[in-house]
Amino acid sequence: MHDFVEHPTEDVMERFLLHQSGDEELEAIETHILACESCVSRLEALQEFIDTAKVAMREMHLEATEKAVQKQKRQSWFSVKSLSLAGAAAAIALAIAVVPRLMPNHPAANVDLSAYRGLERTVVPKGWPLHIRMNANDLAEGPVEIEVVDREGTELWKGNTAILHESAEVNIPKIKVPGPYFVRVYRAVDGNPEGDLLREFAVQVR
Amino acid sequence: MLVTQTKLSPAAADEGGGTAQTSPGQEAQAKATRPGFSTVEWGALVAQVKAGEDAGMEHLYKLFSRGIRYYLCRQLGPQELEDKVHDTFLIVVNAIQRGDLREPERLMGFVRTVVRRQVAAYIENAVHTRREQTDLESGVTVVDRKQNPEQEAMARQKTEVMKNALSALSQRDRDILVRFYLKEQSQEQICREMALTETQFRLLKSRAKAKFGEIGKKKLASNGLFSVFVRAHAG
Repeated sequence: MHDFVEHPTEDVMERFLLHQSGDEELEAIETHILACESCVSRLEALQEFIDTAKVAMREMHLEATEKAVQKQKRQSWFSVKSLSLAGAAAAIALAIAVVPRLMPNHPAANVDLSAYRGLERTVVPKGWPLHIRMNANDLAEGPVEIEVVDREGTELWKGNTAILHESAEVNIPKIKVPGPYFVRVYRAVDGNPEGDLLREFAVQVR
Repeated sequence: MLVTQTKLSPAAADEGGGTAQTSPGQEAQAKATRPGFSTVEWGALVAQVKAGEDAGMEHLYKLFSRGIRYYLCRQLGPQELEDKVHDTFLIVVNAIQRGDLREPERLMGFVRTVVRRQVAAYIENAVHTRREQTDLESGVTVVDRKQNPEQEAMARQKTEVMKNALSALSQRDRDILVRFYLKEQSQEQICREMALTETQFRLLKSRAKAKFGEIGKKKLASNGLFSVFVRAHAG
């Protein structure tokens, strides 16, 4: 017969709480604690410690794992492959962001317009700024307004210049979409907000 | 959450050696002075109960109620605990009065047998009920064992202290505690894998726990959580 009066040791209690007791030991401690309040209190304190320790150990393990993963990520940035990829990406970004600003703009294309609409089309390059010199024979010198429209008559650009020595010159921005366009020359007059249409030149953007 | 576990036996929380602040080396002394039941006259007690005397009943209940409550709660959880304790106590009393206990000295073992049968019966009943109710209920009712905010804050604080204390241990000592408490490896396995003798294992574990208890005691002086490990230093 067991002597159930003996208080179990700390080790026996730990094994009991961790479900590691053998049959005999289990019988002894279970029987003992049924009638021993002090050992129940010890078990409760020990259980609380074990539970708290488990939570703390799990958290520490998670934190350590997270740190290891972060470290690995940082280290992986310095591998040859990652550096190569990063370098390539940086170069592309640089090219996209900086190079266009450093590239010189196209010089303006010189265009001489002498014929009226319908008679002749002057071909101008797509995507180039244009320096247009228009024939203004028989037109009085003075300020005029220049308007560029597409085939639908939609205005693309409008600016001012002057007729001087039977010619008018203007710089217009590049036209990006190919197709037929018209350059119109207006002179402002009282009573007509649009002004008088003096000339209209046809151009073909290609 | 593990640390939120309800105290298994609510009464006498600050009785006994478990939560007392004891110093290393006092285990033997504490063991000797712990209140026990060695002085119980089993024959007289059983005779009183058998005769239906109130004093005997009261003594029996006082002697076993907390242990039975702890055991049942550990096995079955806190639901309807008082009813279960009461049922168990009635079974024991009835059995004694019927004369089922022939040797009064075996009362403790007898109570254990009754409690174990009770646990088995409750589990069997729960399984049966669950089977019957499966067709009726789509979900499973789970008892909410969450703690209140104060308890959660206390548990959080304890965990933080525990982490600090663990961090202060050597890698080897910490590894022993992690293997034993978290991974629940057996002493034999830990000894084998860490090339330790059983004595070394016990010493290392007790030293680690003692160190742990000292650190915890400094940081959480008012809390009894770490006291058991100060005592463990003895061995």
